[in-house]
Amino acid sequence: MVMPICQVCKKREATVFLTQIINGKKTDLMMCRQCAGEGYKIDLNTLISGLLGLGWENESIGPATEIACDRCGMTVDEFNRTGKIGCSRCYEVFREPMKVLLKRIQGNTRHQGKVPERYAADHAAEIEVERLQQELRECIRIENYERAAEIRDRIRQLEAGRGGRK
Amino acid sequence: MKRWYIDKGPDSDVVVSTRVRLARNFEEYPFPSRCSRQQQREIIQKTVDALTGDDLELRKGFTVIDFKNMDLNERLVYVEKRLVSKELARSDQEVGLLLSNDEQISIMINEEDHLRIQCLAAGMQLEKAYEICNYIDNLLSQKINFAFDDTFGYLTSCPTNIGTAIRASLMLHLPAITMTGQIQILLETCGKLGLSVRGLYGENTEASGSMYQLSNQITLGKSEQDIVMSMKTIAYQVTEQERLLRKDIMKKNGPQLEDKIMRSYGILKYARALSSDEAMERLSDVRLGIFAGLITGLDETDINEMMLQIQPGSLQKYSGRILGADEMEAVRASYVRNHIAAKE
Repeated sequence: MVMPICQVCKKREATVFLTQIINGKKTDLMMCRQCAGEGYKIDLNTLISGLLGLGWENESIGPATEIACDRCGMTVDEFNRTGKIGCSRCYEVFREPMKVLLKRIQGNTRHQGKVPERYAADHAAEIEVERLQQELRECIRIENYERAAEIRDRIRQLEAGRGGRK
Repeated sequence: MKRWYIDKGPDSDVVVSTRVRLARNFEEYPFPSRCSRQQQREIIQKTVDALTGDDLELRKGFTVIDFKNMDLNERLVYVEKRLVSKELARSDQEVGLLLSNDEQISIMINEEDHLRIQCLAAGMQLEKAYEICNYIDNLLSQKINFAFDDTFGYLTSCPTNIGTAIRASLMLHLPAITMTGQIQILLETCGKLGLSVRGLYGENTEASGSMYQLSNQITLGKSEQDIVMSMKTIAYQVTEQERLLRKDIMKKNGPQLEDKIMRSYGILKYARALSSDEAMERLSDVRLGIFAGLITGLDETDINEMMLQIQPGSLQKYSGRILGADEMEAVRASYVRNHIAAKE
């Protein structure tokens, strides 16, 4: 039987298996006795590294390893080694795989908390648009086209007000 | 508000202290690990200016600590007081620290994120600690554009902190849950609820002195208020459980428990050498004895202070020199003896 390699030192055979349950999601960490015994602090960075490439390969943008952040130069490989993001722009560049990653480690992908004052109006508008889109789909399903038209206009209005910012 | 370790907070029989911290990053700079030293220095300067800029009152309330040029032992003292993280203390980068004079608010600069705004308080004071962090955040936001995304919220160097970027922690003293062997169950249950529990002070994951730290794991998809509230609810459950178990042990094994507590008290009063582990265990027993009404000369703030002062960095500061292992044990015992003697 081939033993797996320790995820911490990436050299020795892993003999210690650690399971963390975060938000009902199970994550496994495999370590060698030395790394586990050295009081290695179970660091989420280690647990999540390797996850960013997931769900990416099938996208039309090509293999993950070729993409780099156009501002700081971070690549998926680098993230997988360090577990650290390079800059705020990376979240834009790696938006789709990041959603997959965040779904896994946070159980969520949408922020619900505090919004800085300068974003507050935009943020409220975006949440309203999302709600309206849902209502729009429902209106079309029940063939209430009059209300659907109203909603469509309101969405356009809100989106124009946000100045096309993502 | 007083320093956390000399203040008596709500529910302090079980909840030793509260800590809330927010992670924030400047929009215009890469995250610290990718910043040049020059950029790191600019971040420190901009933060100091943003916080203390025009407000004289505030400027008087905070001190800019020259953390970068501090020796390792001095840095360790700040870690032991829980004012900064181990990571900041170990960093060889351009790190900075803004500290309120009551040691309640600390702003770590260029740790994993550009800023870590932290508030410490005695006992269970989650809402208050969050409010204070929020106030500081609002103040800084007037001058600094923090990295924020409509979908992901506040952007952080590690995706485990993204969104609210809040980490709320409670330090809990759980001797009865530990004694009755139920800590493992607690650990697993809290894990399922999105909270982490880990031993404090001890190396590895083992707790020393029955001290545990309860923190939220999830930072995205819930509001700060929800995170704080759900943590508070769970912490109250744990606190209630601990109280019931303490009563139960007292009822069933009163004399044995009393003997254990008073023996520990005796050892702290008279020992000539104390290892860190032993001191933590004995202080934990005495803390329990105080709330069981067995020990009256000391209160919980004495225990907090001693648990902090017997850590290596603080002991070396106390004795004014670097100590060898044997010396450390002797100085620790002498510090504890003197502290207790002064109170009695």
